[in-house]
Amino acid sequence: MRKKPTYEELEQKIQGLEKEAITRKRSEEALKESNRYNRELIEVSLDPLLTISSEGRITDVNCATEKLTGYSRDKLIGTCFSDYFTDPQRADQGYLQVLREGYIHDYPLEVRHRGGTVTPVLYNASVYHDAKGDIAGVFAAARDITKLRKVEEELRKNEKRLKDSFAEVAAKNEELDSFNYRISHDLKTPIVTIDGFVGVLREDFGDVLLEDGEKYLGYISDAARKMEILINDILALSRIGRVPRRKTKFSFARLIEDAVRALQPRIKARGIVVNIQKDLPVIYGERVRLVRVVDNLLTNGIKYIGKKNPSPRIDIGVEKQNSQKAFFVRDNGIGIEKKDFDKIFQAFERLPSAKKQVVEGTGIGLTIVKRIIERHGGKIWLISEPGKGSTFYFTLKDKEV
Amino acid sequence: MDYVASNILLIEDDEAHAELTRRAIRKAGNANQIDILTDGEEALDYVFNRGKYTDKKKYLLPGLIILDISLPGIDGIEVLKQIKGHPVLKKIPVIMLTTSDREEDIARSYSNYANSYLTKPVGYKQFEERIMQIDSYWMLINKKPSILEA
Repeated sequence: MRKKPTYEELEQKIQGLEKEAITRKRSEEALKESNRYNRELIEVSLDPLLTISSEGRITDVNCATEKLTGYSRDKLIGTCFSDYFTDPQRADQGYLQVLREGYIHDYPLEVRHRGGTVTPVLYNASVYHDAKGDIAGVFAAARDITKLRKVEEELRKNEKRLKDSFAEVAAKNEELDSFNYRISHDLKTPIVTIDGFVGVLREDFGDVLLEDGEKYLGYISDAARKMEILINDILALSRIGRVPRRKTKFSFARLIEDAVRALQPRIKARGIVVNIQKDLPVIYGERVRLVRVVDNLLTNGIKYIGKKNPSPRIDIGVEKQNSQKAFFVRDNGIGIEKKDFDKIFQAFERLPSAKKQVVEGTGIGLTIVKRIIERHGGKIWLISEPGKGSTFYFTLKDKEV
Repeated sequence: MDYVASNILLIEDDEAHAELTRRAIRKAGNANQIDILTDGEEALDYVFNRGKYTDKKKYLLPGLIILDISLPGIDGIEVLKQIKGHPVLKKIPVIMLTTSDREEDIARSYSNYANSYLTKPVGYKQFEERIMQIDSYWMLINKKPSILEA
């Protein structure tokens, strides 16, 4: 027989039950809150999320997936997940890969909306497990890459446009070169005539020409000669782009020695000391054209050494510049202002300071030099200060040095 | 075919250049006769005895042809092609004399069997000298056949 509980005992038991009920209620609320929290997180995700059972059926979606597919959650759950893609087979392959490897990363697919619009997406998915540790299904998150695709498309278009206009510029350049070539040739014909008949006049009528007459013929003949030099320079410039020369390996030192020797009379006349660095490298390139580069830089050095220079000097050599071999021609002549550094490489540009020093010159020399260097994959630049002199540097493509 | 080894036929559309050439040939003093024609079609009529040049006794073939490239109508290269394509005419030396030093022009001339390619130099003396060199080499030093036969 059970002993009848006392009033206090009953009181205690009731209190205990009440406490238990409160605790249970609290933990139920906590559980509810936790579920609500989890659901909220899933729903607020902007990326479309879904879970798929191990049989390939949709078990859950968030509203982003509803939006993406155009179907409600109720409609989606229980259906085959791959039906919502433009390429169901590919979608299945991705799903199998997740089961096999545990996850997939940035798997590209296209989702078809109920209304027909297609959205390009990248899927990240992995398997999730039940309490026993068995695979319960796949959790997949999509990222809408429509904008990315558009940007990519735009980039591709821009690239093509750039390529097209580059080709157009190249074609225009070629056209211009060949136009230059034509016109220069056509200009040669009248010069042959002008200079030729100045000669005829001198020969046939020289004795009846008054003093001034001879002087005027001299003007005509000088003008024709200047025009010829100009035309030959334009021809040379247009030829660099059109006609490749044979590339060979040769000694840079020899090239410089030859150039200096050819200019010796002018060097001597100005009393210039020319110093050539020892141990210059062997280089590879279009020799005839590189001769022109050195000859031109040297000639400029001589021309602009300065009339009152007390100790005129030109140094030629090579030194490391930004881990590249840079050849240089350095003079202590009149120098160039920094603002004119770019100008001097442009065709037909002659600086007023240069004209004052030397009357002759077409203003194409350095343009030709620049073109030749660029054709060799190199660069040309200078350091200079008025009154102190100039150093012209040039590089050739690494493998060619 | 009748031909005069000491005759030069100059095909040149620029009257001034033709005059400079004529003077230089005269100056060379080798007593070579020079005939000048100013366009390609006429030049072909002449050497093929066509058109107004049908009289073979009057229009004799030259011992040397000096040919400019840029001619109105039929250009120098085409004239060259036709001359060198003919079984008899092809034996006459043809010298290209032009202001052009275009690689294509040089290449095309030799592909069509030009015997020489020379550019017109600027400068009276230089021009004269070049013509005189042509005259002395091709008309004096170089041996030509006595008659032209197919």
